Amino acid sequence: LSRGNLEPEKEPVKNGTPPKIIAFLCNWCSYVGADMAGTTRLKQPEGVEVILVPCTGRMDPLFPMKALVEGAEGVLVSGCHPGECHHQDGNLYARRRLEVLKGFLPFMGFEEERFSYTWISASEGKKWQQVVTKFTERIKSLNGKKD
Amino acid sequence: LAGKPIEMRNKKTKEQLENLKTQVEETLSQVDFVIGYAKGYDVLHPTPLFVRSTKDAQALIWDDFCINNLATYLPSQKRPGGLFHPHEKIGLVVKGCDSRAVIQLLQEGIIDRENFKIIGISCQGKVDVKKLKNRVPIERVENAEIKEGSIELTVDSRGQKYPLEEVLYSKCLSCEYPTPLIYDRLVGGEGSLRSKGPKEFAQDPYHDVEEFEKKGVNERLDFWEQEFSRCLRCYACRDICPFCYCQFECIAQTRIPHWLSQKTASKENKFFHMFRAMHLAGRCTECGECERACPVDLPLLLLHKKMNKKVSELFGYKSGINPKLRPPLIIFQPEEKNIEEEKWE
Repeated sequence: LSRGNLEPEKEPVKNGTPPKIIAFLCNWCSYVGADMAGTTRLKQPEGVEVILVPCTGRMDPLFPMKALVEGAEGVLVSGCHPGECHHQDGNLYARRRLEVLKGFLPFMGFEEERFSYTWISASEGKKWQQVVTKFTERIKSLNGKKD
Repeated sequence: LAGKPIEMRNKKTKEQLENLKTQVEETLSQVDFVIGYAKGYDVLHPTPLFVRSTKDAQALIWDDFCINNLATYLPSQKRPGGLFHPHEKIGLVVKGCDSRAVIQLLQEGIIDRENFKIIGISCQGKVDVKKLKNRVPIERVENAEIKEGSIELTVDSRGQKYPLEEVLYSKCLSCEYPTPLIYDRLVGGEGSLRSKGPKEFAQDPYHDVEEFEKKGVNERLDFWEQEFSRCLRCYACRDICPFCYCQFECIAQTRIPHWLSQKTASKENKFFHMFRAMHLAGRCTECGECERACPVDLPLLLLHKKMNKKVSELFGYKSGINPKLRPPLIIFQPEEKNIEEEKWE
């Protein structure tokens, strides 16, 4: 094997640099799901930065807020499906808080598409890939509109 | 504009003051001191007064400028190193809007009901000095009186007149609770004053929020960018807020965690006001003290009203009405009726 074969083939980046997206993933489900998407070699968009949280109940609404104010172009939160929380009900608390935040961000001048949350279980690597691809596309087209 | 209730208004305000003084004197036997209003450095700016004796009570006033939300003092009671001795019992003069703050503090377990007495006072709306500021040099106002639906000011010994609806606080124009919701004694008596707020010029409480929502997203971004570039981060809004009682733990100033730098650039200021709004979501009772205290006139209430509007849309909850309810953001429903989640299809 030559050295060149070991390096992953990189697709040339279209429309300049990939959008900066922060994803907060729950340790017990979505993080494992995203990991699974990686191990099964599903194609995922570039520019997504994953931050591990112990539970979506840990999600302080200030985390996405701070990320957006500091220049992130999109924030995605993902946890266990309602009723399947490892800590009983962390995601149900999170749902209320994130929904309030979601309503507030457009008021402050952030497009509503820039923040979203979803539920992805540990076995849903495919779903993670779909969600993150769709979210990235959305942010890209938003950025396109701005330029 | 109905002239009659306004004429009654002056008379009633004077009657109320006499009644208030007696009530305060009577309350003094049960508490260590009563907090009320006294004349400040001019007619437009009454100041809080701590009444510790019947002699002090003579300095009490009650007029169309007594706007301060005295409930702001209450969290100090249980706080180590607070303003008062921890065992001191407090009497408090509260208006309808301030009573919501008292209820909210009770709900949050910040104050104990047995440690204070409330002297409720019915209110017919207060005059916004910031609105007057755009019309007259307020530092030269010698006298101010409300007569027949307008305010008469004496500026440099000359009279000036403005319609009342132009100078009343916006919150008073949409007031729903002119009579306090919680009290031990009531001045004015239920129904003896006009039982509703200044109905003649009633407004929808969230009309300004709705108007702002109609703007484009970039327009909103620019608006806040511009507004927050003026913010000095003096924290007057936070310090006067009855619900910002974190004191030294306020994340605006803590170093661990270091949420926010001390820089007063637009970005940092924006984040400060955004997280303050988030922390007050479903708690703010819209007393407007943050806006009043702001030295650069930021439209802070707009943020808090937006949050409250969202919370009431989602959870049908209104802050400061029922001390037994639980705050909406620390509870949940397994099935949320009003939350529509994204489908990702």
